[in-house]
Amino acid sequence: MKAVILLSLGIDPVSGRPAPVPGEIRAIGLARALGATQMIGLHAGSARSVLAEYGGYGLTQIVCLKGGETDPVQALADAVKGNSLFADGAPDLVLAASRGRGGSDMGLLPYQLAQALGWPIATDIVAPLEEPTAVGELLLAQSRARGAVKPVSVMLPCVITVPDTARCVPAFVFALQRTTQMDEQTVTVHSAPTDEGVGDNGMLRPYRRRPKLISGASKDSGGGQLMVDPEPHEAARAIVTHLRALGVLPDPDQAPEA
Amino acid sequence: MNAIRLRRDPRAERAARLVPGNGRLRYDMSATPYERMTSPSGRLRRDPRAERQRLLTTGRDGRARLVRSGLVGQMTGISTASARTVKKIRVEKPEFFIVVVPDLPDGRLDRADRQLLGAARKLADGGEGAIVVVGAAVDAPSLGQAGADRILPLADGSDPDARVAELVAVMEALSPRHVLIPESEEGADLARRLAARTRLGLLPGIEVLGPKQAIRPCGAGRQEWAGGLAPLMTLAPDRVPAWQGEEHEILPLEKTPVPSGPVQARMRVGAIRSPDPATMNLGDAPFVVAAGRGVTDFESFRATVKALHATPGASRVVCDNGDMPRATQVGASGTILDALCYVAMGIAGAPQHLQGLGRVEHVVAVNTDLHAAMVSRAGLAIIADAQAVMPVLCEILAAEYGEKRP
Repeated sequence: MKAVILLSLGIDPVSGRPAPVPGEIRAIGLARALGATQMIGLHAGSARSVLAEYGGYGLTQIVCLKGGETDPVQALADAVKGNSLFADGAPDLVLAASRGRGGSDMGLLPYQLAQALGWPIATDIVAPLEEPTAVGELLLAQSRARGAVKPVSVMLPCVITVPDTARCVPAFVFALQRTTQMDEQTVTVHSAPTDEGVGDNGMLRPYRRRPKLISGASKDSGGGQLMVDPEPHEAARAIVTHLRALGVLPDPDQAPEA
Repeated sequence: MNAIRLRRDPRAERAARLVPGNGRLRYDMSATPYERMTSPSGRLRRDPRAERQRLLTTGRDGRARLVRSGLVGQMTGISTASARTVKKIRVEKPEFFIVVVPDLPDGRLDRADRQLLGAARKLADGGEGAIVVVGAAVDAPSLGQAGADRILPLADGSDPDARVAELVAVMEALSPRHVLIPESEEGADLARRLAARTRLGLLPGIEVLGPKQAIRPCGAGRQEWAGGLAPLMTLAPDRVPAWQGEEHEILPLEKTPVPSGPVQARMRVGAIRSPDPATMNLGDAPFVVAAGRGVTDFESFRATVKALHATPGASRVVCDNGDMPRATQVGASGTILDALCYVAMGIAGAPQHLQGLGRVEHVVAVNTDLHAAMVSRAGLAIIADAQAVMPVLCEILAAEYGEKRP
């Protein structure tokens, strides 16, 4: 399987210095877990030294599309479709981070790229699922809150996005980073269509932390019920009743959760 | 001073207040001893409390108010009449529509959905707008209270692309001014799919929303973008308050969308799978039961954790002693929990341990020390020996769930 991993110029949220995006590092690990034999990193923009850090995570070939930053979706779609990346045919997978880090951080580009390629997109994928599937399909685990997963079966070729919470982090090897091969291609993008409605009418300014609305549940935690030296049976009964009122313990007449 | 001041006779006043009866002497101190109280100078004394009581009436909204114009009877009449008719706001001829796509987990509006409707109300009340809720069937009264004006039921499919196609049909029929979606797991995905499909502008994760301006974080959370509104917007949770005003009446929708044709299914999303609590990652676990120094019988503790269907945790001392694996350690040098409920068995609650309970909402503590920090943090605190409570807890759970749980 041949995989393309979309790379972006991220920054560190604390220091503001250029740094690899965590989701893209995990995308490299997920591509390996999916059994990708060939991987190429693709970046719409001119080559920067920070991109070589992805090489340390196992992505030893990176292609930069110089001039593609004016319309990255078009530039990336042309490169993926154009069969110029791999010697033997088009890629099967395009992996990206769920959100960038340092730009507009919208997470919209993978969707736009999937739309431009006409491929399906599976989002927030953390791992492959080891279950039998039809030929030409991938069975993936989509991460949900509190460690739950949803099985997603998607037809190949497809676009996959990987969240920062995925656990498939490849080890960093400095020697691999030194051998990373960065190619810069100059591309010309004809049109740069801007989205309707969102123009350049906004302004960028330093982030101001604003208070969130306080949830009602967190207010009444603490200072609750107190039982001093109860009988063990009484205490155990109180715990079961309390847990049931919180909803973490199912009622005995209902079927237990899986 | 023209009048002779009468001298008070406290004994006589007291005698006049005597309540007749046998046994102990009782005095009714609230009773006025004379018909009308006069001051020593002979003027009638006012009773401001009684005057106030006469003027007091219940206002239109149930709050106490004083009516000084002598229209007490009329005022109360108004208040009872208005209380009888339930007033609902009707938006009959809207100038524009605002489409809201709530998540509706378990078929009910959750906190984020109500906040989303509150934000939509803000935008709609800037002009004469109507809010169209697009989603699975929800009871109309709760939607009306949350501020919705119209409902458009939507089929619930497993294919996100089919859902997007339905929403595109809705948008073509209504041509809404804005579409609002929560920035939750499902909502964020839907909004971006919709933006890629329709090529409309998207503003995701909005933190401040006004009728003219939206602010969202960007640049790795170091910067924020402030500018005008977009056709598609997703709202970050706990940022905009829910609608608190009058209930809105749900009216039938003027236009109905043309159902779109079947979409080629390229992707299927299955039902959600909960992980096994015994082996799942402690940081993700919704329900954690942890042991501290108050626990010595770890076989009993493991049995309790299994019976409660929870994830095991431990304090640092227990992990240092080798009674529990290091991966189960909760606290500053272990795992920071994101659990809904935390049961602390024999844990006093050192500050480093309490740091690990970062976002835990409900804590249950079983401890022998009444003055432990964990007891003051707990919603249910039991001052008892955890060793004695755990086997009984196992027995109760085994008796109730019995054969249902493996």
